[in-house]
Amino acid sequence: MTSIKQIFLAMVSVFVLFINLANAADDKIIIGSKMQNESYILAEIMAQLLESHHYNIERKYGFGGTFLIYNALISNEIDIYPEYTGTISEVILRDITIDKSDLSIEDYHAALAPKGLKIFNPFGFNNSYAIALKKTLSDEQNIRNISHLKFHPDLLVSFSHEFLNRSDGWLQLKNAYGLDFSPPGIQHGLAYKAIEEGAINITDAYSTDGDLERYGLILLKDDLDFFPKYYGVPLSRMNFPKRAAQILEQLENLIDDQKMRQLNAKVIIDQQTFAAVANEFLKQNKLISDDLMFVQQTMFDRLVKNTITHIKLTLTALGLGCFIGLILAFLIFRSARISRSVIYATGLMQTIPSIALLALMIPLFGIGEIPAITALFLYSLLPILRSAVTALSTIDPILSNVSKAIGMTKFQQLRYVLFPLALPNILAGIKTAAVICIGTATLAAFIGAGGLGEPIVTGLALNDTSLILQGAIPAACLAIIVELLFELLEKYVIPEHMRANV
Amino acid sequence: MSLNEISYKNVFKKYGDVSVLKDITLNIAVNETTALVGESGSGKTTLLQIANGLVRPSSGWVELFGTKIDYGQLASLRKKMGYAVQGVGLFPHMTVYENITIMATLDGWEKDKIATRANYVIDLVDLKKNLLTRYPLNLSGGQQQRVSLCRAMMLNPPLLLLDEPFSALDPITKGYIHDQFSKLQKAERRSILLVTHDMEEAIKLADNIVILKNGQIIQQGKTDHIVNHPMNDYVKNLLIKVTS
Repeated sequence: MTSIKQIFLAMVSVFVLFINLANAADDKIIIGSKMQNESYILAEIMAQLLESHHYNIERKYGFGGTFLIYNALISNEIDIYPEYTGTISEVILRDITIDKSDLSIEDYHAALAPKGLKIFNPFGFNNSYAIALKKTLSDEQNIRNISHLKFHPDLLVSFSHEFLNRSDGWLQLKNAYGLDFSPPGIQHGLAYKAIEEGAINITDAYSTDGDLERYGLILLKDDLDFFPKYYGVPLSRMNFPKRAAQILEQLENLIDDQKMRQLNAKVIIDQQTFAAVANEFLKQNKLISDDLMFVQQTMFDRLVKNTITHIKLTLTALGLGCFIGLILAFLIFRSARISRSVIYATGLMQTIPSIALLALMIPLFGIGEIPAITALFLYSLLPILRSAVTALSTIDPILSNVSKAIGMTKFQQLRYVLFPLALPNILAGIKTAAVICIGTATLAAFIGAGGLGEPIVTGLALNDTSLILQGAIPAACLAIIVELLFELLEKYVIPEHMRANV
Repeated sequence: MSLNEISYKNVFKKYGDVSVLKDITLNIAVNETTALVGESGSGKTTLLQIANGLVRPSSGWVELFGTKIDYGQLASLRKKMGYAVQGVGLFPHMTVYENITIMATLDGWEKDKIATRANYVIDLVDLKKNLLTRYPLNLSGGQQQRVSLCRAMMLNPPLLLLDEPFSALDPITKGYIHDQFSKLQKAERRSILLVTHDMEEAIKLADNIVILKNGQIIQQGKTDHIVNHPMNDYVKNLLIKVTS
């Protein structure tokens, strides 16, 4: 089994290698980000800062979670991304048993070094849980610290369900500060509105939440240092280029909680682009010159780049699917029993939900293009294999008998009689596979393979419908174009009277 | 050199528990036309397909051109056996000309040689030249049958295996093609094994007749002999249908 896996892996790698050979760059730095507003902004700040020093930057934004982006980092898919110290200690250093309550930067260096990773000095802000209330209320009643809440048992308190249930949330906070509320749960998105309308007074928040200022909210001081720290830090491998690292060190302590809140608000509330927000920030801090225009990727640039990636993923998977599917079909179609079981097995593959299949690929192949192509290949296999086997095994027995009886070798029977006769149905199967691939490939962005799924993923993160459509519409167009191309191909390779009347 | 093109030696064929051929020992003479006559289910098509290896005997063996069939060499052996079948079996994705010349092309014949031989067999069966670029779909049944004969004769094989090639044709066309068949046999004399359920056709075209029933040979011999000396009522009945 492992050798089959290795052979397959080698084939995919060679395919991908050939494709990548064209755009293999010399001194490129690849910057990643998670599917979160803040992560996009910080990644873009790093990207533009390095670009102003003439680095060639590739952006791979929108990873679905810590697990995915961390895997991307250790498998060289990306070189650096913005992370939080709390996440590093809870998720990345999960297997290391040290006291994680109060880790210094040096502690992190020591713990990450065996993994070949390092963090930079923090950006400055701490994005942890916090307790929010109206500034007016805070001023009136002089509530500044969390410990002050003890003296106001009449306040209406409501927390998000997650905060109520987390071990480092309400249960511990209540004990630490000796508070005596029985807060009901509320959906986080509704809590600020509820405060505005006076339905509640107090709720939980993230300390860099861009919405705080819009609602006139302030955060209470965590005077007992209860909440774990989530300092924003760039995380990279040890071998990150030294000079580039020095450039990024200029960002140290430049973004405090309030600054991060403002930057977040510019994107969420003012609807500015990440690139524009990052550019303005860098100029204000004199990190790039005022006349340096940021290369804002236009919608068109993004579209072209994503479409090319999308086509690359789909074509590679489809090419492999045709190659292996057809060879397999030629080998098995003469035996009805083997055909049935192979088609059954590939059919099972099809029943695995695509996002789950992509996730299943990660432990086998890591993240990025190879697992995405592998998953797409598995999806394309069934329609190709099934149509080919069905077409080959239902050819008029007189014709296959004649092809034998006039003295054709097995290969000649296949090449000159069986394959051409089966071609209309085989092409129909490949067309189905192509359309499935184009649709499913939009999910590849979740595991960092890019493509037209990228704006969809970002759009989902930002709740931005127009961004979602920027991926969905081209993907749909691509599917239609492929349909039309296949119709042209059919006209070209199949004599008119042989065309399937579908 | 043997005088027999095909020799069946104690051939049995069973499909599961059903015996299709029971102990057939039979010689097919060189350069003569031999008809295998019988009702459907008599085993005549199976007997023909055993000659070119489409079917293998359950026991017994077959000698072709004086040597036992080597089943590892079927492809090259089959090129010495032209094959035409009921329902024609022309390849629908090839033009008429491609259907006729495909094996010569695959065998690497030179273009000129292919054209010369193709024209010769096409003229033999009186096939119109303007049909050559068409697909079989656009031909009448009689035209298709003639293309099928051309394909069978293209490599100039010493032996032709014909499995009810004329049975689907209307009587007039059939009569015409029968005449051409006789003409062919004069022009290029070869051994022919013709499977048919039609006694009249057998009498008209064959030098020898073998009558099969339920997988066994009822009577075999020269055509004249069979016509004049039917062995039993079964054979008599077959002959009565012809004369009536």
